[in-house]
Amino acid sequence: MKKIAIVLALLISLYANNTIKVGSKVFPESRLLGEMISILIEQNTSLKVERNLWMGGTKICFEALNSGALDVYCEYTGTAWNVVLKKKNRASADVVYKTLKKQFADTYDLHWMPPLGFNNTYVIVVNKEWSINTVSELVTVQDKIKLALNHEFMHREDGFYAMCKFYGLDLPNVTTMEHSLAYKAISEKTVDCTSAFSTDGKLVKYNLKALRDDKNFFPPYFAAPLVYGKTLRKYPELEPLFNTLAGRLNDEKMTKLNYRVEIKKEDFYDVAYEFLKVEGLIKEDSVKKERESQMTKLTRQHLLLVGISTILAILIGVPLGIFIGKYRSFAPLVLGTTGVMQTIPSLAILAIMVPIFGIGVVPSIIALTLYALLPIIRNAYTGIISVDPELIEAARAMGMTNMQILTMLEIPLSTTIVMAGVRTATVICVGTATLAAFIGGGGLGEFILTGINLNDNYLILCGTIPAAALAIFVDFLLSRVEKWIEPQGLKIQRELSN
Amino acid sequence: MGCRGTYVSLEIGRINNERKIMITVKNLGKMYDDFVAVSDLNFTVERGETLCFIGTSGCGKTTTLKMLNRLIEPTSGEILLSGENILQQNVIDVRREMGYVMQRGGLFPHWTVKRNIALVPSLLGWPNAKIQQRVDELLDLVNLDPGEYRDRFPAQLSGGQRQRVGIARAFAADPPVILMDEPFSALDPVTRKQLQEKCIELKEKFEKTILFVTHDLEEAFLLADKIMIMDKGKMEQYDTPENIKNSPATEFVEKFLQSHE
Ligand SMILES: Nc1ncnc2c1ncn2[C@@H]1O[C@H](COP(=O)(O)OP(=O)(O)OP(=O)(O)O)[C@@H](O)[C@H]1O
Ligand SMILES: [Mg+2]
Repeated sequence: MKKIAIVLALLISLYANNTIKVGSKVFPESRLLGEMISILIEQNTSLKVERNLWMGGTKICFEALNSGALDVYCEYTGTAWNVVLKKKNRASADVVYKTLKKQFADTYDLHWMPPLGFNNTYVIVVNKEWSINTVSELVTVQDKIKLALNHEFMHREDGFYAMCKFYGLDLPNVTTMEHSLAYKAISEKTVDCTSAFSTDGKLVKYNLKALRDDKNFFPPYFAAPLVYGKTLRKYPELEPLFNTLAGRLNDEKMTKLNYRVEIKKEDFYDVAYEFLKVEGLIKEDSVKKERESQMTKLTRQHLLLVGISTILAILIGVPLGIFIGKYRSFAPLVLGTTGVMQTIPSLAILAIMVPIFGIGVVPSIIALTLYALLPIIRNAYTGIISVDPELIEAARAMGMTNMQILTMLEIPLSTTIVMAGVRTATVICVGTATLAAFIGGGGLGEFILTGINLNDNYLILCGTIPAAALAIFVDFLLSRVEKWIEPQGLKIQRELSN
Repeated sequence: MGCRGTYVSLEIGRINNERKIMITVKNLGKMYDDFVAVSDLNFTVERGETLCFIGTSGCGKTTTLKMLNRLIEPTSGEILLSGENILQQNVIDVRREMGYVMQRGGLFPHWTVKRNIALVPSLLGWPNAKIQQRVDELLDLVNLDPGEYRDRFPAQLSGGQRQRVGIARAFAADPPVILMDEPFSALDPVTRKQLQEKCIELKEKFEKTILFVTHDLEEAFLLADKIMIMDKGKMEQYDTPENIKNSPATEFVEKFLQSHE
């Protein structure tokens, strides 16, 4: 009971009042912006911040914000225009922003703050040795310049072909290759030109020059904080605060910041903090907040996910297992259903949760609970049916009621095997919970997911090693509990029969 | 109907007073689908008497015994305990009125000897002090030193000791009737002998009505006031040991006695 109370308290504290939940997408720039917003709030208000950085793609972040699971994250105008409003037409940056601001407020009660100032759109970049400065000027070198473009840019509706048509270009020397390979090819001078995102930190690394989109072909992707309506009204201090960020960045500044976190691997917090201080957006004498290390935070989230899911699975699974042990005609149905659930890949179960329960902690817990159910139900069932029928007959003959037989005989005699099921389920949960990060549930999987996205083996190990260690530790701990919970008489019986 | 009911119970009341009848069984039968496990049993047992059921394997002894505490529900007939039809009473109350001893003890392995013996008293809600005292008294009665055995678990007892505890458990709440199903058949001859003597001692001391299933004719002659010989679910003869020995009622009984000499 005490344990359950603690878990509930933790859960409540997770969703406590006066906490602003800041999100970000799964790439460094978005995360850095999330970090800036977080620090800005922490340093200038009395509100607490919960960072749900590195959450997922546009759909996940938008859904989270729209359902109130997030209070704020930075969105890009072009993305919202395409993905959320599903608009295909071209429009100027100003029109796009105004349309978004109005439609989001009216339809979703989500509010666009003023843009931060940079435009992370597509750009055509060339080696700095080339003297051209605009896309139009490409026409002057179109026969000799060699381009390497990635597949997506080649085939997007607003990609390469459309651009050539729009600018009247005829570029014959084009090959397709992966983005990172294209950068490499440019640095080795085997090609001259590629497409990129305008604030990509790698532009600094590879010393590339962006050609100005002089005829405004590429859609505008201005970043701006997008905020949940209720939050804005509840904490009126927030809107003026977000306004202070307006226009503070430009493409060049953002590219340099991205370079620092992405290429130089500087700490996101430190980079964001320093930027805000230089811009005078946080007080000169402010100090960095005590930060829970990412490792502690994710481990805590991981344990919380596992703990809650397992407790739920026990609360559902043990009574259900006992029930089908008593009414065996239900056993094939229940064991069959949970068995099938077990054969569905865990990632698929998580994916199924998204359209039903959205993203975040709740669907992760539901998926993990379903996953942990089978070993618990199966063992509770086995425990109940393997109680010696002679003992049950003795109990009945002594005038015990069915309830007394259950609580005084069958359940105590099943504890060990039930506990073994709980142990299996928990260990499975510790492993499977690493996947929760894919649907914004947090936990150690975030390291793994970030690592995969950044192609960073160190980060992947930061997730996998603690998760494995946790599984071993939890297994050990529960094996101790298993021994401890075994009724003494049975322990003696087991030892004597050995 | 009302008149007849009254008449029957008056009659039973009268008989009860005269001969102290504890159990009356009328037309008792048990069918499994088409299979007749027990049919048409009629007998009475007096207070303080020991009745032994004996017969070929599968003849229905266990079935009969279990119908008496409704572990098996009869398909026909009546069972009266002190004149009351137990089939119309709360089954839990009926069972708490009867002790039950099984072949292999049936002790709860996760409970101490003390807790096993105290089972029915604690179900009946006796005060703790009384239960403690009763447990020690019963352990003494079955010749187990309470100080030594009270806190042991069943796994720490020999087969004979377990059976002693099983008997103590059956006697714990002082029920008027004790049912025993081959309680000594798994024991070595020496232990069996001791426990049979213990059984006689207890029965005489406490005037229990004991119904006892056995397949050991010698045991039946030793313990029983009445013996019921059964075959294929039917009663072949029901009488005192002497009468059975001296005048077997059927050819089956005669052969049965011969084959066990
Ligand atoms: N649940 C049941 N379904 C069908 N038949 C049964 C069932 N239980 C018992 N029987 C049959 O009823 C008959 C009487 O069984 P019972 O257990 O009373 O025999 P028994 O006299 O105690 O035999 P034993 O000396 O071997 O213990 C047997 O033929 C047995 O096969
Ligand atoms: Mg039998």
